[in-house]
Amino acid sequence: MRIDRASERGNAASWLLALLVIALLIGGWFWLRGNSGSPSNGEPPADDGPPSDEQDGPENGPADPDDEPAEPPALVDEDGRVFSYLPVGDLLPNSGPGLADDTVYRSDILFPTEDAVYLNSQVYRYGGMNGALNGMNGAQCDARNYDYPWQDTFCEKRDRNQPLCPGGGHEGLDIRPHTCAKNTHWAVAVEDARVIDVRRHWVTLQTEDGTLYNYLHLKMDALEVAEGDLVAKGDRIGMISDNFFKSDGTSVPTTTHLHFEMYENYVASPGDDPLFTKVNPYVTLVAAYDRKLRAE
Amino acid sequence: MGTGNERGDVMKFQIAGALCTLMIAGGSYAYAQTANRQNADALESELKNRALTRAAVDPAPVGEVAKETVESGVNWIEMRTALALTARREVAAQQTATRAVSRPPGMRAAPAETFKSVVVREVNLTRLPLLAPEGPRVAETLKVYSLGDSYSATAEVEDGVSMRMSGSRRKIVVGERPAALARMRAMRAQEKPLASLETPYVVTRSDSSTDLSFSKFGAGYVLSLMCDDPADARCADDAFIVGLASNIMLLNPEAGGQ
Repeated sequence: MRIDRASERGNAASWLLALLVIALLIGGWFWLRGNSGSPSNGEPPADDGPPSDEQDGPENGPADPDDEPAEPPALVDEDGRVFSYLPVGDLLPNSGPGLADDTVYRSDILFPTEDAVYLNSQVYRYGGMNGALNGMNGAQCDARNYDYPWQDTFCEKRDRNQPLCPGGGHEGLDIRPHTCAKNTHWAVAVEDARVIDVRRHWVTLQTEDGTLYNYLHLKMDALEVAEGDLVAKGDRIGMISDNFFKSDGTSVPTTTHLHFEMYENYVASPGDDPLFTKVNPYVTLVAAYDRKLRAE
Repeated sequence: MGTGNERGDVMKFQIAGALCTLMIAGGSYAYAQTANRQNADALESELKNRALTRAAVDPAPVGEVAKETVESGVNWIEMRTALALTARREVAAQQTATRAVSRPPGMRAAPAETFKSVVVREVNLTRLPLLAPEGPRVAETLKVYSLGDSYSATAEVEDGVSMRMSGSRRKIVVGERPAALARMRAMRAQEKPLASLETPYVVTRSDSSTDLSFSKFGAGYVLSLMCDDPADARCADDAFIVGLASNIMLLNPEAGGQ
């Protein structure tokens, strides 16, 4: 009897083991199948050729002539992608209050890059330290980071409380270059200006009327400009990279992007005392990109 | 033999248990990954649906264009009065103190020629009071770049802290739109008095700099401090930047004629 019971237990354990192995194999197969659809593979997106209509967003869907009148054609970039953008101040969930300032501070500047680019968060998207807050786990080169729509990142939360961004602290815009490849895509002067500071990981330009432009994270050892230079609108400044240094030269990790800041000396009415502070350049850059895509 | 069988059975149960644990852990991980991916996909889809596009032909204007840029009349008399006021405070401090006292804050003339890294021509070009904070390291490393109606002065302040002070006599008129007014009111509400220059100031902070902004003599100024670590007390607290702004050098005391 004892031998029979042991034999039965042995058989039961063998069957259980076999079933678990089969379940594991089937489960693993389904899991792998589910993951294969993810574009988050850490590889840079293809640099050439327009993506499919499906990737272009809602505006590119074929209109049904029976339903609504056909929408006018939308502005596209050099790859044929429809340029789309979220309204100013419309930040990712859990990423800060934003600042809805729809002012075009400079109506005639050039866009600060040579190629098509993507404005979005470096911290709250794929590859960012807080990407998981929105389920955006992945690498910085995830193709979804290199797509429209643009999204504002001014006053994105960075634990630096101050009057312009209550509860926020990112007083600039983060611009991903055309592809994830660093030291490849150029940042250019938005206006005729003077290079007034080249230090650590930034280059600062100033215009005759005082506007300051900060370009951060360029490849600092291969800049096209030097301190004191006069630059003309469109002149190359440097390649977009991930340089981020302390004053002793220690490197701090960051993603490949151009952090772009703008200071204005501004008033509501001509007789007022001015405020000389950083301003949100988002709408100014949307307008500049619009002109760039139209080759104006 | 029976003991060997039992040991074998126990091992099989142990393996089965381990596999079960693995499956549960793997399943949980896979579920979390799938849920994350679904959340992210849903969010991406929502963003695309909310996004705006631009018509290829006859597009509507983007945003509200700032109205104009106007030039401020610089109050040179006020500048000279401020210099004289600081001088009087210093004399008073020397006369009333019986022991060594710290210098009173204020604005002092510091001719461009006294700085080894400053190009005098840059200073002479500048059509507004050219201000920069005092300090031994600043004096050693100060550089000035002028564009006539605007300028910037840059320097190392201390180890791990650099500064840029910029001024402009031209200002952009953004107009009386509610969003702009609300933002300016919020900034003004944070202003505090900068006693040494008798003007209000506001401090703002971000990852890249701590900025102190004020207007004086008809021009706008911003003093920016860049710390290696934004959490450094010299950038995280107001005291250091306010201290710098309270002892200001005027590099072009002769500007503006008599």
